[in-house]
Amino acid sequence: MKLIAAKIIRIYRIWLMQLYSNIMRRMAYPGNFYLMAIGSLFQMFLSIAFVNIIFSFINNLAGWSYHQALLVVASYMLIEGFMWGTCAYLNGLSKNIQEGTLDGLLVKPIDSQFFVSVWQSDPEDWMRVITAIVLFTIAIKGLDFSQDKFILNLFLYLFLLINSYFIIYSITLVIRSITFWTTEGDGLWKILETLTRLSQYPTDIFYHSIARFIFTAILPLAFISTVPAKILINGPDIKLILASTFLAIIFFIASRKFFHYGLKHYSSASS
Amino acid sequence: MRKYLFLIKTAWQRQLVYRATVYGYRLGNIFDVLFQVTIWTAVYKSTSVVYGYNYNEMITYVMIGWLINFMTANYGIEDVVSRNIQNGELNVYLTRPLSYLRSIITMSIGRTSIALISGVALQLLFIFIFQNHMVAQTDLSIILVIFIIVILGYFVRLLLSILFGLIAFWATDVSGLNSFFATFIRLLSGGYAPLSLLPAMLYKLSLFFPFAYIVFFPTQLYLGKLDLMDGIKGVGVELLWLVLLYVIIKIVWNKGLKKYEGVGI
Repeated sequence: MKLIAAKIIRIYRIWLMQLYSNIMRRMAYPGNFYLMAIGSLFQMFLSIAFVNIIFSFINNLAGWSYHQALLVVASYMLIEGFMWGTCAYLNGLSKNIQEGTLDGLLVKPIDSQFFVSVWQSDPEDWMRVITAIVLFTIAIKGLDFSQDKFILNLFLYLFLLINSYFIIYSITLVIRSITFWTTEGDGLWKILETLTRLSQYPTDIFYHSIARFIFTAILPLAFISTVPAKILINGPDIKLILASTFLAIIFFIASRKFFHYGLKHYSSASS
Repeated sequence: MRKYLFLIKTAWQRQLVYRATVYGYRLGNIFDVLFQVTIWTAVYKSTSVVYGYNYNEMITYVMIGWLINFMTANYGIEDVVSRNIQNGELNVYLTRPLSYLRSIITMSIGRTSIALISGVALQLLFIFIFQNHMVAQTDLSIILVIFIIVILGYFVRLLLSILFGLIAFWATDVSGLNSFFATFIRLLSGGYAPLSLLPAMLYKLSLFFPFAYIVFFPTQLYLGKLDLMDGIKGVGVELLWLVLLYVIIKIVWNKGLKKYEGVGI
């Protein structure tokens, strides 16, 4: 038990150090840092504005009211903010493979997947998390919750968001690991960006049964923001909670195996 | 002329090497287009008209809008320009008997041609699939004007990108600025949704800038919401913007060169 605790503390310290070094790197050009933060805010503003425009002429979107839809958008933004803020959507993996500098990270006496993941993070994107919390508060205020129910639902919601983080992290790791074969990362980022963006609105908008099957079973985008929001609004649903946890574990294990398989195909450019 | 053709050929060959990037973009675009169709379909389940657009008109806007987007995209030429300035790669261009601006415009044509062909092919496939939900434009004179506007739109977008890239003469890192402008241009060109969905003030204001003429304006022409005379006026406005942007770029370039430190010399 002590050994596990020591390992967790070590991982946490390394993550903090990487975060600090990334803040230093970004703050070397403060003007650019602020511009990037404004850019992130602008993108979020567009998503919120789009929801507002849509709801200016309809009352519900695939069964979701305005504040419920805002809650889905806020949940997506939270996950997106954490993904950028903690591992920059694994941008560092593609970048290091492309430049042949991954060797430097692999020789460190720490789990390769972990170090490659936290090597780059975008501190300016913590702005997304702050904005998402504000949006979340607005959405919650607009929805009528009884106090006792809300606390349990909120606890489950946060638990499901952790699952969402692992699902989206795993999908990202698999897609980024393809760079081991292609050595180009730009196109892969485009796929990832559009795929994850699909989860920023309630997945009930996918009326077609095939689309619904793809986005719940094959690519579980429904579990990223729609399911957590549903649990917060409607209360516990054991089936959904178990499915989310199961998917998070399976996806994480599968993506880790795929990353290590890809690593075997890494042909360094510098050694 | 031959030297510029050589630049196009080199950029073309370079794109053939990085095929996976093109495939990745196209696969991502499939989700982009399907997502827009899906969300508008969901919206039109609760209403029949959105800001004067019925369902078929909105699907047409998405389909034709994406087609024009593929035809006018330059895939981040601002990043190429800013990288050339920051990494000192501009030194090589300055010693060549070629104008940098002309080189970058020529190179961009070669750089985007494969992406353009694949993008247009993909979008034509989408148009074929969704043809029953689309509005058809049969007036050949309107189609000709749209074609001219799209070609001019490509160069307006290209010059705007070059202008943003030149900011690297004054800023050490412009990656933040570039991604901000990419989103900004796409919004104000009508790439996300029709500009008429914007608040009235912002909509009127957007028509004074060149962005609206890249996607929104030709799509409106296709939908028949603007007539031939509006289209001809639009061509005039685009030509004016092209001249204005070229003059601004020349001024910025000359001022920037005085600030240029030539990293690596």
